Amino acid sequence: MLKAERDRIFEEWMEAHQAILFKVARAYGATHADREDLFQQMALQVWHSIEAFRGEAAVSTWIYQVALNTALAWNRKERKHGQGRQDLEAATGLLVSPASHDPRLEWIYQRIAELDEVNRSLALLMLDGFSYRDMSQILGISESNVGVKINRIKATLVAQLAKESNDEL
Amino acid sequence: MNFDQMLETWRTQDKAPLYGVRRELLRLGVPGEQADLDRALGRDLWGVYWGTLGTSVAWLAVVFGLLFAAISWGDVIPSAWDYVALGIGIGTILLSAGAYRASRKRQALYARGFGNSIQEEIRRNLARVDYQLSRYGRLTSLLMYAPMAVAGILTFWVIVRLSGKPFDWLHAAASLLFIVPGWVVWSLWFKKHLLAYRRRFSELLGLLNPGN
Repeated sequence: MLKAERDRIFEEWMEAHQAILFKVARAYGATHADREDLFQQMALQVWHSIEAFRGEAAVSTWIYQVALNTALAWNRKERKHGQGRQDLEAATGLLVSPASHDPRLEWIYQRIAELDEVNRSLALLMLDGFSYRDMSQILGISESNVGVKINRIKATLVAQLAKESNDEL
Repeated sequence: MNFDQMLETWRTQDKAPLYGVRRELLRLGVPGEQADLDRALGRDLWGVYWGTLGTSVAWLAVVFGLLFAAISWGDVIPSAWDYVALGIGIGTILLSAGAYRASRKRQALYARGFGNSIQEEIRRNLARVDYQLSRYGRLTSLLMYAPMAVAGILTFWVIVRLSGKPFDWLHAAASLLFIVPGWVVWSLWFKKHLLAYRRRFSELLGLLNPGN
């Protein structure tokens, strides 16, 4: 595949599906600098994966798989080096945050961050409406295993929602 | 907020993304990362080739060049053992190159046969790490680092030949003392890192399959 063709597909995919990368970066990166770093890594892996894409799955499923795979590998790398960098350190200005944040969205991400890395992946896929079958294919675990995990995640989230129902949420 | 409202809140990100992306930086960043990756892969490949093979070839070329120059000038009496020594050096380098090539092929084979899912990707990485760990103590692994040791001994041979003194095997073997500890320290450091990766991959597999 020619580089120009690959660049064109990359631009198209990023235009249509960059929200996936934002969500994964936000869920796995503890600081803004981490999220920028992870976003860039995921974008690179998406660019690399274009040639391997055979159209057997939807582009969004493919990008989610590449992004989650990168996020898990990236976490491994961060652990190897000890811990993530501080927020201002090494931030490149690649990602620009909007002026205001929805506090409810912030609350959801905080709950996701409390899950282990695999359940974090499942929570993202669940919230984005992926079927058990898709989740099973992306993660490579059985549908029944996905079902058990998703039920636990849902139960945890519902319990936390109930606990905080008296707050401003 | 109830569960349905939570899903609704989540979906707002698709209309109003969490971030804006500075495309010009991303365009700069992706090729930059690509170059970093290529450099990292290059370091691995060329590190072994030039670190052991390349240095040994260059080193042996220089010392045997000096020896044969001294022979041609009549300063040293030629001996059949000079050619035997050169043959040992060339043979070791060829064996080492072969062992390295075979190792790369075997490593590539280990990485095949896995699917595209995240679990399969973790298993593929685990297989790569396991393969690297399994190489410790193997003859092929030793062969890959042999040129440095052989170059050390052959250098000693050339020095002795140029000085006109008799060859002393004990002193030649002593040159290994400079090479073996370095190799051992490097191996232990590398093994420690591989084991850390192994633990991490196993941990992730455990999270994916809690029943196993």
